[in-house]
Order: sequence, then structure tokens, then C-alpha cells
Amino acid sequence: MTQSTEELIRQVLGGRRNVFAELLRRHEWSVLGICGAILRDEDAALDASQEAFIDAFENLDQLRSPATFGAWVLAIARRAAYRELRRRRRQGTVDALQLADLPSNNGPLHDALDVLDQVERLPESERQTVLLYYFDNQPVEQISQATGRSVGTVTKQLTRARRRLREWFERETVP
Amino acid sequence: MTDKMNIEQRLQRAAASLAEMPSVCETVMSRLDQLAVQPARANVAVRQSGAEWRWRLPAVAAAAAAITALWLVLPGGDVGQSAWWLAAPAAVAQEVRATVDAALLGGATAEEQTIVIGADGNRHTSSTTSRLYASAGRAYRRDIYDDGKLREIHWYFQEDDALVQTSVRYDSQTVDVCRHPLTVNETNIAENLRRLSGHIAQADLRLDYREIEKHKCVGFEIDNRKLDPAASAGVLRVWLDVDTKLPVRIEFETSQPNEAQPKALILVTGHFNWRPDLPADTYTPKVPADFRLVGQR
Repeated sequence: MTQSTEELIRQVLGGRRNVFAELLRRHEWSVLGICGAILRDEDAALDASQEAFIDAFENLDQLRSPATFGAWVLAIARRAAYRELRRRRRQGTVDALQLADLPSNNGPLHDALDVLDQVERLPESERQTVLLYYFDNQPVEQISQATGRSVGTVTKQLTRARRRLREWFERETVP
Repeated sequence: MTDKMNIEQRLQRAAASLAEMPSVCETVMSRLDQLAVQPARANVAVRQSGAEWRWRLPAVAAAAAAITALWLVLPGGDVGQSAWWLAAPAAVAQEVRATVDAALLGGATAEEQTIVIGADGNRHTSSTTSRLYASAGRAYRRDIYDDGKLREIHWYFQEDDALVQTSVRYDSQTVDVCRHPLTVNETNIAENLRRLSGHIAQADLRLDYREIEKHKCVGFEIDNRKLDPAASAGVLRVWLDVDTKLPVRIEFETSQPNEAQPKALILVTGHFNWRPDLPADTYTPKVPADFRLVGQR
């Protein structure tokens, strides 16, 4: 039986550090998606994702409502991605403008970037919902708990987000 | 029409593409295992067992001269063969490095455990313990126990230009094989021990003699920010056997910055066994036949 997010967090805070791996696996792809959309580079996205999860682990006891872990870790991931962007700019290892303008030219991230770019444009609440639903395969009920919104609201957000994305993609493909 | 692909399909395909990227799970969990060695952000609640006397780096010449004079008159202060630990930190570090390098030729094992200090000041020892193995070569291994029960074994070995990690998890009856860049060696106890000498060279304090695991030890304390300027405060303590010069205990202490919950963590690595007599297949992954392969990257 799948354990609830709250139960997993209780176990981690109780000293079973290894249980954190399960939390990580549940949200790994949405975190990677958000980092990839911002950093546009696979290695940078992987680095930022790692930092995001380390941050989440270190601050887990600050999370007031364990059920909201999914939305919380996405917010951490966004910060981690921008921090990584700043770090790379400072180090001069990557030209920040280049990062912002040019997609990674190969690999799985490149294949996902056209969609991630549009997802990144969504209003925050819709973006969270789309990432949790499509990238983490979270059911609507869990997203409702994770975001503190009703199931009806989450469903509407998904519908609105899909409509926006469809419009944006159609606009892009108009010759 | 392909460009007008159903938006659901686009999202699902993007998610599937991302899922082809390497998982960060193993790396993150390995790093978490090492938090005490390289802690992230934290303020430090240092509970010093008593500094015998201290030096600060960089020391001004006059202070150094005074300290040297002091060493000569304190008990055990004849800087020579019998009190090697009284030499300058850089010299001590050199001695330790040579000793550790020699000892690692026969491999080593150790145990790692986390002590949590609650807001009330009480200490609680985590139920999770790791047993660390370092071979004479580049292979190493970590066994993780929780509540005394073996939960996971991670084997690491170098293959071509990659570090291959095989992880067996007994709770979920799964196995995961992952290739990392060779730079990922944070979990290697041998590498951490070799790095220790570099840390000792930057020591801030020498700690009182103390008997640990029946070894007479001297300790060195180092501010973590010297080792990693980007990190928040933390303290690394290394306890060395005065006879063998080998590490007996390594402690890393950090505390949460939130004063309302002043929780401190100390990661303790101890129970070292140098040149252990281990079965020949200690570093060969052993996967039960009925375990499910959940990842091969």
C-alpha cells in the first residue's frame, strides 16, 4: 500500500532518513522539469534538482503542513534553479544569456523543452497543478491536498491550463 | 496535424522525456548520508569538550612564538616523537596523511551514526546506522541498518570512466544500478579519510586528551567554513589515536538556525577497523534472485 506523504515525512523526521528517497521519487520529475525550464541545460538542471531536494530535506521540519510537500518542493526547486543560474553566471562557466536563450541541443531535456517553456509561462497555481499532475502522476485528490485547494478548483485549473497551452501551441504553429 | 497534437499527449511525452534523464535520487541520498561531513546551511552549537589550548590560523608571528614556548613547558609539550600532535597543524596533517594512506592499503571499515540534540538539550541517537567499507582498491560499500535490521547495501566500484553503484533495498526487495561520473565519491570513506589530513592542517583548536573506544586520543576542531566557504557554520572534530596517529572518531556537529527549534545534529563516524579481515567477495554486489530491478542507468 502506498504511504501518504504525511506518513513518509513523519518517518523521515523520526530518523528514517532513507524514507526521504520515496518522497524524492514522487516529485523528482516535476522538480527536474521546473529546473530544466529555467536553466535549459541538463547538467545544470540535475545539479539544481539535487540542491532542491537537499534543501527540502534540511528544512523538512519547517514544513507546517506535510501534505503540501509537493507544492513546497516545487517552490524550493524554483529558488534552487535561479540560485544555480546565478552561481554559473558568477563562475562564468556558462553564459547566463546563453542559458536563457538557447535550448540544450540534445538529450531528453531538449525533447521536453518546448512543452516546459509553455508550462513555465502558466500562472503559478496552474503551473504547480500541471507539474504535479502530468510529471509526478499525482491524482487530483492529492494535488488538492498538496496545494490546499479544493478538488473542483484543481480540476478547473487543469482545464484552464490545458486551454492556455493549446492556444499557445496553436499560435506557435501558425505559419 | 502532428503539430496540433493533443495537449495531453504533449505533456505526457514531455514527462516521458524527462524520465529518461538520470535520476538524482541516489546522488541526493548519498549526499544526505554525508551531511555531517559536508553539512549544508546550519548554525553551529558547539559543545566543546574542553580546549586544552588553542591556536588560530593565521597566527601572527609573535603569537606563534608564544604558543611554541608554551607548548614546550606544558605536560607532554616536548615537541618530538612522543608528542607529534603538538606540532603545527600542517605538520600533524602530513603525519596523519602518511599514516592513513599506509593503513588504507589494507582497507578499512567504520560505522556512522547520527545524534540528534532536541530543543530540550536531550540527545537522541538515530536508529539508522551505516557500516562503511573501504577496500584497498577503489571499491567501497555502505550497509545501512535501521532499528538493527539491514535495510540497504550500496556497492560502488570504478568501471572505465564511471562509478557504478549497485543498491539493494531489502524493504522493497528492489535493486538499482546507477553509473555516476567519477567525481561522485562523497560516499567513499577512504576518500573522506584522505581528505581529513587537509582539514587538520586548518585546525582551530586542539581538544583535551580523551579516551574513545579504549584509545587514548587527541582531538582537532575545524570550522567548516574554512573547508567550504559557501557553507554555513559547522564544526568538524577529528580524534586521533596518540599511538597510531589513525582516526578513531570523526564528528561533525551542526544545528538548525531556527532558534525556536534549536535542533543540532552530530554525525559520528567511529569504530574504525584498519586492515580488516573481510571475505573476498565483500565488494561484489550480491543481489537476491527474486529482487526487482527498478533502475539501470
